[in-house]
Amino acid sequence: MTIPRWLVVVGVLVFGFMLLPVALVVWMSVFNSEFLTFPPPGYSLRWFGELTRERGLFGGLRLSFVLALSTAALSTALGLLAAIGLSRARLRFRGLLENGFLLPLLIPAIVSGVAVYIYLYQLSWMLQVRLVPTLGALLLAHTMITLPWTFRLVHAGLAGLGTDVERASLDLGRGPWQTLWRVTLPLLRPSLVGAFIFAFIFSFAELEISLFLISPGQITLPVAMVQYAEFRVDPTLAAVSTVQILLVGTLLAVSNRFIRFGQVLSGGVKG
Amino acid sequence: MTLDRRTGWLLVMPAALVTVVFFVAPLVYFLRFSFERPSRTAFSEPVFTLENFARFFASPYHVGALTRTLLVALAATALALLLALPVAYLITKASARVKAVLIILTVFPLLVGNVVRSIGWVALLGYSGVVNTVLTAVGLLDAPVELLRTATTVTVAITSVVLPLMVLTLQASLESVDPNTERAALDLGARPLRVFRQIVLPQIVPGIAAGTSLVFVLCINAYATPRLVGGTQVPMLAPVVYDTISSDNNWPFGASMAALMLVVSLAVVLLYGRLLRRQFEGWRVAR
Repeated sequence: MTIPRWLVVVGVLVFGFMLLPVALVVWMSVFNSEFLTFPPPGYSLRWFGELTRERGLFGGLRLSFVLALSTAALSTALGLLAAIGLSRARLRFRGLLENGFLLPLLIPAIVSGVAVYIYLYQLSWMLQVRLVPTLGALLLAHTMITLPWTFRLVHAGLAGLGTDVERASLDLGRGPWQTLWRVTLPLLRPSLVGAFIFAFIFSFAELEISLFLISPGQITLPVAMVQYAEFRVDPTLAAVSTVQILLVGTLLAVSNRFIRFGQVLSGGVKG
Repeated sequence: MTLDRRTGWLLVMPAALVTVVFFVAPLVYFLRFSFERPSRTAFSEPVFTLENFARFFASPYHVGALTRTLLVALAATALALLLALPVAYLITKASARVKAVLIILTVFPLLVGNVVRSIGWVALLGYSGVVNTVLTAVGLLDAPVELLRTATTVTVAITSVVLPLMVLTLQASLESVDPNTERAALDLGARPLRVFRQIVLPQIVPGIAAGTSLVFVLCINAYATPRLVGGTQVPMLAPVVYDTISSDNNWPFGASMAALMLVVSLAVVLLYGRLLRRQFEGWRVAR
């Protein structure tokens, strides 16, 4: 059936509504004025260079990058192990475990943030060890909220593979570990890359949980951005936002070859 | 099945342990904690009291934040549904190549994160922002006006932030609609809008239920957008919870507010899903 023209017009407008703020931020990042004036007196890339001088934002950028990489590695590893265990062994409480790993998706992030903060603080009090704010707590909390994604992606990947190839490998005399290492993991690579990238992006943009777990000297980028933006919105802030936009865009382009973001995301997500 | 049970458990154990220690236990503890009393000398007074909740409902400021949050969330969800329906339909009908591009265009802002997009909205609506500049330049305004810090602009900005998710959920739901039912209705002479209303819409009720409840919960819990676009003039629950805990240092009170948000969120998802499902059954029988 043909698509009516008015529907196309509405579509363009709604896409504009979704993408306008992002496009605006990229535009602002190349203004050469110190304050926002539309249209700008001229264009320059200097705010990207001056980012390094903005300690809060630049520190946030660095911390978030390292944190997102570590989170992605840990979350993908845990998700992979759990997915293999659940899809390749006959376990009791299987449904409970599968749903349990998806639990963080059901709980609003701001609530999880409050909960983890209070709990770790109380534990610190009891054990007389400082648990919050520490980088370890931040890493584990980020791992926790990305685990539903990595678990789900790898689990779906394993289901897609089926067990026939593994059985063939076992029948041909390879042991279970060799089969895992030489057969299952290489075949699972697209799902693993997708899971890693997904966890990276979500950790990098995570705000609500980090809000409670950061310490004054170590602030993640989204928190630093909110703090800065409450004070003022200028080309420097736009420049660091653009770095994030470019990073996400690149990762999206890379991962588009491995996973279908639309399908994965539409099954329930939080922003 | 290629692994024995013991190996299976060993593999599942790390993730299960992290989930229990870092998620389940904190949630249970925090719910209990919301009934405790703030203390000057210790972490909190380990009593079981309803004081926090009583204090919340006795305070016009806090009740105001709750009703404002619910109203903004309701309006943003309705608006998002209205805007997402045509777009999702458009994506479903597009050719494979265009569809791929449109889905990436939908996913992209979502992954960029709500902080960056909220900053974009501040730049758009700010005092020297794009909207004010344009309106003053064309003479519709004599001087820039304050567009930020109003419940309306917060609603608009939140709608834009949650819109991609609504589009994706509805699109997934629309994909499963049998195109033959539409074709049959068209062949029988129905106009396209009527086909959409009477043939397509009833078939995607579960998708609408999933999308609206998901987005509603996100709106209730939104932090960055109300903070940046609304500021202190438009207090909403999530920023108020954060301030109560980090500035006022009243942890039990903050926890009880967060518990309230959790209960509201879960109640909406459960009750609403149920109501719509019943409606859906009715529709099915009727047709």
